Amino acid sequence: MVTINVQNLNKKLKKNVVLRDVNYNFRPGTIYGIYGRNGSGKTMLLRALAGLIYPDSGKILINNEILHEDISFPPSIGLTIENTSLLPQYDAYTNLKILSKIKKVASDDDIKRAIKRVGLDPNSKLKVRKFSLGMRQRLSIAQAIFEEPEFILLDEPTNALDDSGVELVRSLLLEEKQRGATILIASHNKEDLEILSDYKVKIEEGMIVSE
Amino acid sequence: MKNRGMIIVVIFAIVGHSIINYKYLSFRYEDYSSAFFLLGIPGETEYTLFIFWYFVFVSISFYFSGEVSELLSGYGKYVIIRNYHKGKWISRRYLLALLRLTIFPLILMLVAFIVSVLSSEEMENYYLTTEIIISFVIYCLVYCNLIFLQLYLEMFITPQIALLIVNIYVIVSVLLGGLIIKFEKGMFLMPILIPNISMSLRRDYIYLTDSISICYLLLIGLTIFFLSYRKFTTKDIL
Repeated sequence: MVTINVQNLNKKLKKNVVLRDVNYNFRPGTIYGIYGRNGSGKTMLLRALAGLIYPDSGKILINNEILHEDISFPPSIGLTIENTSLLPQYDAYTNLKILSKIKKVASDDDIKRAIKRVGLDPNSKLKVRKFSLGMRQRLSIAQAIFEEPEFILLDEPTNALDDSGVELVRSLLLEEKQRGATILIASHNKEDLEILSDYKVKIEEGMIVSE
Repeated sequence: MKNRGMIIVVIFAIVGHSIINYKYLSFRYEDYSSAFFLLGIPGETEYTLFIFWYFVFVSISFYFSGEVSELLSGYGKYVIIRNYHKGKWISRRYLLALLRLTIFPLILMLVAFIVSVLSSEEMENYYLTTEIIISFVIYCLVYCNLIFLQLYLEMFITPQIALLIVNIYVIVSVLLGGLIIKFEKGMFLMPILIPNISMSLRRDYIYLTDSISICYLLLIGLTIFFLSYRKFTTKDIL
């Protein structure tokens, strides 16, 4: 179980303020739906929580450890974020197998189960370069969950999926919540947010304006 | 992630460099056993030697291109969030680069030896002196500094521009170094034209003893590593 505490977080990129005085507590076993207009700071908040961007001021505490001081990244994290792709020259299984060698917490069975859960064939030798957009998105979600992380950050997870894919991902995320994971979903899809979110968080110009 | 085919290009460049070195330098500098690549380029107008010397550097430079930037974008984000400590991660990358940058000159040494043996029957000409070992260490350090600089620049600019800047610096350094030696003017510039330090034939003109050269290169290498470490640990990964 992971607790995430954001305190007075501010971030400027060049001259644009992308996060402004963000304060929030994310509780374990909860799904948070983050919404707002394009460029409002949804993805930046996910990046900050993942440890990918360095705050100008304020801090993020993950289980009471300060991000960028005590730890570089949340210790148990799954992430899908825009413009992030998998290795096109390998099949689905090999892509996750390569990643599994870093932390060594997921077995071959865990990898195959995660691929199956997103509706792909773990034994298929089809290279990712031949995947459709929807298949890539499914694999990207499998990549985020196959190590059973405590903290899952998903940017537009159902964007390129067909109806059956959307249903599959929704039920998968609800299962992950049952497991105790803290899940943040940044999305424009109101239906996704209605069905999945325990709390909806609105962001405007880098600020959390309503919950 | 990297195109491993680049290793083959590096090997080809090494073989070509060794053959040309043997052809041009073996009869002039017999006291360097088979390690003629450590001599470098005698003058600024020896273009054949220069081109083959540069082939080795540029192929290694291409091999390392994107080493840091690839891991700060795309799939690299999935890799990096699984590494708990940014500082340890970048240190490991530089250490691995250092290891590979020692292996390439070792291959060069081996290929140069094979080329010499195949070209000459007099085995008594092959030996390893302290001078050769020191020159080899300096050669490796120069490569490390140049490639570390390229990796550091990738934290600010695209890998293509970083590669271009370092390669222009290398070409200008070697050509300018040759002219400085020829006209014996502007010698004070030589220490900042680092590629010349890797060449035994030019080192004598730089007024740096071997031990000072090693200390100087170590200092530059460590400074670049320290700057890279600082930049990387505070860098935004967008």
